[in-house]
Amino acid sequence: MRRDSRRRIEAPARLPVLRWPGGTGSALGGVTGAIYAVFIGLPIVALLARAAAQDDLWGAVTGDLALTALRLSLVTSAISIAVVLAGGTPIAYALARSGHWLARAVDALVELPIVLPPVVAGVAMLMAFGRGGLIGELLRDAGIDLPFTTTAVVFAQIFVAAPFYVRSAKLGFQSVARDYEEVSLTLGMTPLATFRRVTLPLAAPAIITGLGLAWARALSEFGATMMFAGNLMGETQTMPLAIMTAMETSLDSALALSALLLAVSVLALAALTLASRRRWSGRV
Amino acid sequence: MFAAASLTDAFGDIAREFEARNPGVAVKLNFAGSQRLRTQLEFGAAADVFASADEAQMALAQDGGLIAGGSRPFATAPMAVIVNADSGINETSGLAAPGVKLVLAHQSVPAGQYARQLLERLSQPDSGLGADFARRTLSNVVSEETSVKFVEQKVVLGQADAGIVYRPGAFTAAASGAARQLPLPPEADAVRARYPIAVVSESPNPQWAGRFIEFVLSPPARNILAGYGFDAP
Repeated sequence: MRRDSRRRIEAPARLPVLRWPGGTGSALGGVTGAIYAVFIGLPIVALLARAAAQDDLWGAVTGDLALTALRLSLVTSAISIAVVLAGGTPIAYALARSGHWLARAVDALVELPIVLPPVVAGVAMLMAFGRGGLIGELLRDAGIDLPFTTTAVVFAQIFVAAPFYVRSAKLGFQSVARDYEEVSLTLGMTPLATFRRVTLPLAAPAIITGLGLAWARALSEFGATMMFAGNLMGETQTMPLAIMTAMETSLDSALALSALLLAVSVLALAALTLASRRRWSGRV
Repeated sequence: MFAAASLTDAFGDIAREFEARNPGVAVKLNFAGSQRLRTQLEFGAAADVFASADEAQMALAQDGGLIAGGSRPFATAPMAVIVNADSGINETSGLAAPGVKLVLAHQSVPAGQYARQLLERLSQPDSGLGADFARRTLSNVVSEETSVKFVEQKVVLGQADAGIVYRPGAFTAAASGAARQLPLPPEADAVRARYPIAVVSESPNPQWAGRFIEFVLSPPARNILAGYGFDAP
């Protein structure tokens, strides 16, 4: 997907598209595509069907547990994504442009959270920011007590979601040829204006892809949150935690919550894609 | 072998002992919350034996036709309060002090129900902690975990000051040196988890399942269970 967006930005029509020769290729693509659709689609269809089959689906998705968790999930993931966007964009740009050894070191670090199992990420965050953690004492003296707070939920989400955005945005920036920026600068545009009017629009598809991925990851974040933030309704119980909690008593209620989360995610991601298309279509 | 999460250590030992006595037999253990194990059985997970931390989950499994024959009680365990070694809490009344971070299992988990029963019991006049002890203590709850193991973990890691767990779990937590078990008044002993065990109706090896259960009920296994803080039924 990433390579796709990059290709699109660089030169949509001219780049050769990788393809198997002739009809074999499309046949193979068709078969694997069908298998893939069943593999991914069937569990989701099964989930929705089973969720819809219960007596009181509406009651479950509009219940206190669901709505409180959904609100918390939307608020925390929105804050997380705002922080990731504001902090991650300059980092991604620097990583794309700088050849400094420090940048390369950071580049390697950025992707670490992706391979870390989220539960381990949560424990690691505890050991850093928790009570008795590396800087826990320092934070405590400053009056900051992170574990079991909504802030801890946001921390966990940023930790696991930021890499997806930084990675994607970095590739987006790398795909913007330096020449364009230099031309803009020689024409008298300030660096900031150049970034805003040349670099950003050209890198936009990759940035938006990264935002979508990071947001989805933040919304679905479970392991790190459970370890670092705990599970209390209205405070730290986001949708994935509410689903796990519901699963202990009633599978039906857990499935109803899952269907709700799925619906909200699909709507939000569709809106993002639509908005980005409209916003950037005339520019690139 | 599907066994409640709180049996993890004890059943590990029992399974090893059973294997040593029955060469050629390999016992595979799957530990999780009793309610999750029951759900897995409902969806056709292949298992021979179901050991639950809760009679209610066993009854639900029996109603669902998942169990062959009856279930047999094999152990009980009282609840225990563990506190982090650095928490400064030395007696039960300290749990209700403002600012204490208390972690319980969620109400949907057996351990969470027993924990709340324990607090209610300790609010009776004979314990002398005050009629609002349960209410004040519950207002200190900062997290409701989906497994009693997470409660132990959070106290051991020092993220929480105190937690309510099964006594065997308190043994494990105290063994780490990072947590202590708080002495409870004798009336607390009345609140106990009761562990039943049964052969699963779809068991691929019903004979071995039966033999394993016999072994769990025998003195050698009882000794192992006692070593981890379980009482006889």
